[in-house]
Amino acid sequence: MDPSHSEYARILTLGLHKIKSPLTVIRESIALVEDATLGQINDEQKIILGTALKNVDRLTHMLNDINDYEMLLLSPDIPTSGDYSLRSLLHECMTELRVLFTCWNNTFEIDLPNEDLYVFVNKESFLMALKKIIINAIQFAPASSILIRARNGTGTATISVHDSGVGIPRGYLREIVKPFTRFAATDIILEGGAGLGLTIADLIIRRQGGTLRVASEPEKGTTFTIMVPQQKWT
Amino acid sequence: MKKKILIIDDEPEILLVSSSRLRASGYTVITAHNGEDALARARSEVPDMIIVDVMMPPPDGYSVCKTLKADTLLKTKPVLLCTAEKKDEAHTKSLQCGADGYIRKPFNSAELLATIKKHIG
Repeated sequence: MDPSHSEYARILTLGLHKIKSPLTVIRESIALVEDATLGQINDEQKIILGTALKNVDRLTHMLNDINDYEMLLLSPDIPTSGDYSLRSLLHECMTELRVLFTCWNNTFEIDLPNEDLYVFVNKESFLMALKKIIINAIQFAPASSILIRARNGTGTATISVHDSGVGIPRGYLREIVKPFTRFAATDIILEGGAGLGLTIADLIIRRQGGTLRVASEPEKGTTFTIMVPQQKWT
Repeated sequence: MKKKILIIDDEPEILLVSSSRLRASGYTVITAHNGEDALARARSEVPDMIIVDVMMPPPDGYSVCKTLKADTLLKTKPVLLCTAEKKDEAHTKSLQCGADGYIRKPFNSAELLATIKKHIG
């Protein structure tokens, strides 16, 4: 990384850490009143404070997404990669997302070939991309089942994430990985990101020699397909 | 008998809201606003658990944790780091300094209480 970029990245990370302290104070102050620890409140007050809490969490996710995206832009180098079992990566990813699935009444199904697939990726970045794609599926299809399927290709592993949600209008398919893209159907805010999740996922996957594709049918659902190399690429 | 928790943070407002939450949940809370003060309080009060913010003026939370884990009287007491770092980074650094766990800012109280309960009941 360029030294000036490196200093900027350091300040950015430090600044984000600093912002999280007042966010903690705001979140916990609201929560102490909202959950009646400090005394009874009425239903309307509870709804209003619950909305405030949800938006503190949303702001936190936005800050994290903006930080992740900035860091990716500042570090254009291809990250160090290695061979990883796709079964293990998916297990780690779904373990982290289990709470989110429970919160939003989603279930998931994983369909893997009998013989494990290996992918040549940077583990941390790949997991980040995969999580963002799955979180996007949850956001578009609450209370439904998400199907994650992996298949072996010629030197390439294909991982698809299918949701049966509202779908993406045809005119937006090309736009969906651009920063801050939103369209009318996405007024459901669950995880509440900044609109950068798919942008980050796409950038990470491309930097690792892969591609991210999307196919969708309004009211029937969307499938994101990741294709990543199974061995070292140049 | 109530379990005693020492919270160490250089931000008084974090101490205020965290103390309020933990007292309401039945714990005795003592606080310190810097690393040196914290070590003195920990040695005199011998809390059941210590929650330390990592980003403090020197000594930072990692150094405080290392010192606690090297202290004969305190080394068995669970230390929980409070950090704004990403999960992977927080996990690695907490292992490196001998902490028993970490919680990420902005934490929610259910997560904080569950983590404390796991260690001291």
